[in-house]
Amino acid sequence: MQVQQPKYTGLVADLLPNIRIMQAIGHFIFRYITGPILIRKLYSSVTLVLFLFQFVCILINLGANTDEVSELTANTITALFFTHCITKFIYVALNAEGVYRTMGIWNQSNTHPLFAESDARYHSIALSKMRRLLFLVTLTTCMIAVFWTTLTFFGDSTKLWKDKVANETIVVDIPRLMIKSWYPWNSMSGTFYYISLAFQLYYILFSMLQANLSDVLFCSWVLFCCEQLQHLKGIMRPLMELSATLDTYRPNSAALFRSISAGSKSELILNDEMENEKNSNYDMNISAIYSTKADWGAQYRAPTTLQNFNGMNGSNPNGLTKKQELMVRSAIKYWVERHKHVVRLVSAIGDTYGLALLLHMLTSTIMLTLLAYQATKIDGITVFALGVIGYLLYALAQIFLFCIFGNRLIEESSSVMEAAYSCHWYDGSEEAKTFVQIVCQQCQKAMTISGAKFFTVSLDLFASVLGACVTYFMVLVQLK
Amino acid sequence: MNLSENLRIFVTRIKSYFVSDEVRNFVLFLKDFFPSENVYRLFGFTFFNKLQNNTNQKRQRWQKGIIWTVISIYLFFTILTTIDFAIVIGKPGKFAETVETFGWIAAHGLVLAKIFFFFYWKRDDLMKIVERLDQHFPHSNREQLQFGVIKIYQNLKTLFRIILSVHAWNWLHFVYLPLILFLIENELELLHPIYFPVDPLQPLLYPIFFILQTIDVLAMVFLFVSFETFTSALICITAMEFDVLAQKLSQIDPESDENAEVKLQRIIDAYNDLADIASELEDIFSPLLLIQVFAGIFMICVCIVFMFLPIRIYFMIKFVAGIITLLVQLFCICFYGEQLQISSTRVADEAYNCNWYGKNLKFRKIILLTMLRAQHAQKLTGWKFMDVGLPVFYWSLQTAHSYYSLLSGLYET
Repeated sequence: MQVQQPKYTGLVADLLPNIRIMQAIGHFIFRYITGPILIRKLYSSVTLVLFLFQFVCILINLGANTDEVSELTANTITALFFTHCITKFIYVALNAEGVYRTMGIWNQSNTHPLFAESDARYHSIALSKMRRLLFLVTLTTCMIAVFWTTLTFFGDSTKLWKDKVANETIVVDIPRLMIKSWYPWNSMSGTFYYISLAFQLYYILFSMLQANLSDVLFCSWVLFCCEQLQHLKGIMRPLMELSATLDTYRPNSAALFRSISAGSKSELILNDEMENEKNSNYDMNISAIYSTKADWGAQYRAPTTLQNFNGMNGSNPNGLTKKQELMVRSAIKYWVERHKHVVRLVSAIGDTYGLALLLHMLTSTIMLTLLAYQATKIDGITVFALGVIGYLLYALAQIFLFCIFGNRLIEESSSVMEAAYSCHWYDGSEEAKTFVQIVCQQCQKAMTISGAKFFTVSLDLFASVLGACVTYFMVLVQLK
Repeated sequence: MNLSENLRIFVTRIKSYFVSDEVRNFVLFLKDFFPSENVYRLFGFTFFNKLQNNTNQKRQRWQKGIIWTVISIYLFFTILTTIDFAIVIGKPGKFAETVETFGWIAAHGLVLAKIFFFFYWKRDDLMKIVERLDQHFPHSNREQLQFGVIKIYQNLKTLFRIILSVHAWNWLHFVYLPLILFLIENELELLHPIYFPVDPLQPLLYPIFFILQTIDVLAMVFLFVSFETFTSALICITAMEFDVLAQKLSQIDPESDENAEVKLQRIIDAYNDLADIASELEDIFSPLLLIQVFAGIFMICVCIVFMFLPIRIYFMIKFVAGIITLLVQLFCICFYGEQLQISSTRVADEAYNCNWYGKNLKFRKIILLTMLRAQHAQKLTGWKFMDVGLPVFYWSLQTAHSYYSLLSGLYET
C-alpha cells in the first residue's frame, strides 16, 4: 500500500525545499517527513561528530602554532569562521522546537472572499522571492567552496614557524589542503592526502551550507511577513470603500460586492475609476483623487457630517442586505486578525532566531577585527590577498543578508500607518475612522527583530559594523 | 526573642514557603519570604515596624543598640579608609593602595547611602507604596495560574538564591584570603587597607581589627543582598501587575460580553493606579539608582585595575569575585527596570489584541485612548540622567572600561 504524501499547508509548504535541503545536509530537523526518523537521527549525529572532529583538529592546529603572530591570526580567523557553522548547527539542533513552533503559527490563515485574490497574489510573490533567495544562496555557497578549493592549488603551501632555538622564523612545508588543520594521520602525501582533501571539501561545503541555509530560513520568514504586510496595506483602500457603505450613501456600492475575476491585477476599485488606474499603486496617481463623481457633485451624495439614518428603521442608506453588511464587518475583522497574526509570527521569529543572530554578531565582530589586521599586510595580488578579501566579503555578506531583511520588515511595518492615513478615511464610516485611528496608534511602533534584546537587526547595524571595520583598518595602517 | 531564635524562625519560614504553593498577601510575602525583613531585624533595622505593632521595650532597645553598633562600625571604617585614601593619593609606588581604598570608599558610601535612604529618609514613602501594591496584589488562584503569577514568584526565589550565593561567596573570599596569607607566608594583612594612628598589624590589635572588619564586610554583604532583593522585588512585582492587566485586557470581548465596558473601565483605573505607583517608585528610587550605578562603575573599574596589576594570584580571585558580584547587582536593577518598561508598553499591545472591531464605537474610542496612554512607558530613571535598563548596563561596563584605560595610562606615567 502506498503511503500518502501528507499535505503540508501554510508556511511549511512554502518553505519545504529549504527544509528538505537542510535535512539533507544534516540539520537536526525531524518533522515534516515520512519514513523512519531513526536513520535521519543517525545521519545528523554522524554529521555532528565529523564536524566537531574537524573543528577540534582546527583548534589543535591553532594551539600548536601560537608562536608566530601571523600564523596565529590566520588560524584564529579560520577557527572563528567555522565557529559560525558549528554554532548555527548546534543552535538549530537545540532550538528545533522553536523552529517548529514558528512554522506552525502560520499553518492556517483566515480568508475573506473579497480579498482572496490580493492574498493569493502577494503569497505567490513571497513564494517566488523565497525560492529565488534559496537558489541564489545555495549557488553562491557552492561556488565559494569551488573557489576555495581552486585557490588552494595556487601558491606555496607553507607556513611560518618560529624556531625557538635559533630565534628566527623559518618556512615549513605543510600539506596542500584548504584548511590548515592537524590530523591524527600523516596527510602530506599518498592516500591519506586524498582522504583529507575529500573530507575537507565535504566539510567546507556542508558547513557553509548549514550556516547559510539557516540564515535563509530566517530571511524567508521575514520576507513572508513583509509580503503579508504589503497585502494588508493593499487592501486598506477597498476596506475603506466597503466600510463607507455602512453608513454613507455611496452610488456605486453594488460594484464593491462584485467578485473580481481571477486574472485581474488590480485591487478592488470603483467602477468609474477603473479606466484611470493603470496599476494598483494609485496613491501615486494624483489625478485619481478627484476622479470620482462623488467628489465633484453634491447631487449623488449626501454630506457625511449631517447624515443621520437612525430614523430609517435601522436599514442601510445603500440598501445593503444583511449578508452584505455582515461581509463588510467581517472585512475589518479579517484585516485586524491578519495583522495580529503577522505580529505573532514576527515575535515568534524574534524569539526563535534572535539568540543565533547575537552569537553570529559576536563571532563576526572578532573575526572582522582580525581580518582588518590581516588586511594591512596585503602587498599585492597574492593567494593571501585573495583569501583575506574572500573572508572579508563573505563575513560582510552574511551580515548584510539578514540586516537587509530586518530593515525591510521595519520599513514595511511602519508604513502601514502611512497607508492607513493615506486611504480615503474621511469618506468612510465612523467605524472606519476609529479603525484607522486604532491601526495608526498601534503601527507607530515598528515591528523589529532584535538579537536577544541587545541590538535590532537593521541596516544601521550593518553600517556600524562596516564603519567599525574600516576604522580598525585605518588605525592599524597608521600604526604600521 | 534572641538572635538564634530569630534565625531558626527565619529558616523555618523559608522552608515552609518552598513547600506550599499558596501565594500570600504581598506584605506578608515580603515579611516572611525575603531575607530583607528578617535580616534587617538581625542587624537591628526594622522596616515593617508599624505592621508589627511591636511594643516590646526590651526588643526595641536591643534593636536600637544593634543599629547604632552597626552604623558606628561602618562610619568608623569609612572615616579610616577616607583618611588612608587622602594620605596615599599621589604618592609614588602606592598606586594599588590608592585604587583599593577608593573602591572601598565607594562601597561603604553606597551602603551608608542605602541605610540612610531606606530606613530614615524614604521609609514612610516606601511603606505607602507597599500598601498600595498590596491592594492590587491578591489574585484568585485561577488568575494566578492563568497569568503566570506563580512563575514570577519562582523567578524571584531564584533571584534571591543567586544574589545570596554570589554575595556570600564574595564575602568568603574577603575573609579567608588574609588567613591563607597568614598560614602560607606568615604575613598579616587586613581585609581592606585603613589608616590608624597605631599600627593595626600588631599581634595584639590585629585580631580585633580583623573581627571588626569581618563584621563590617558581612553586614555590608547582607545589606546589599537585602536591598537588592527588596528593590528588585518591588520593581518586578509592579511590572508583573502591568503584565497581568495586559493579559486581562486582551481577553475582553464586547461582542459576547455585556460587562465588557465595565471590565475595561476597571482595568483602566487599575492601570492609572499602577502608573501612579510606578512614578512614585521612580521619585523614591531615582537618586539611589544614580548613586548605585556610579558606585558600581567605580568599583568595577577598581576590580579591573587590580586584575591587571602584578599582584599575588590568590588576591586576583578576590577581585574576580568582586566583579561578578557587582555585575550581578547592576544587572538585577537594569533588568527589572527594563521589565517595567516592557510590561507597561505591553498593555498597549494587548489592547490591540482584544476584540475591538465590532459594532461598539464607544468601546473602540476607549481602547484607542488606552493605547495612547499605555504606549508611554513607565520608566525608572537615575535622577533623570539615564533610563535604567539594559542599555545603561552596557554603558556602565563601557564607562568602567574607559576609566580603567585612563587609570592604567596614569599608572604608566
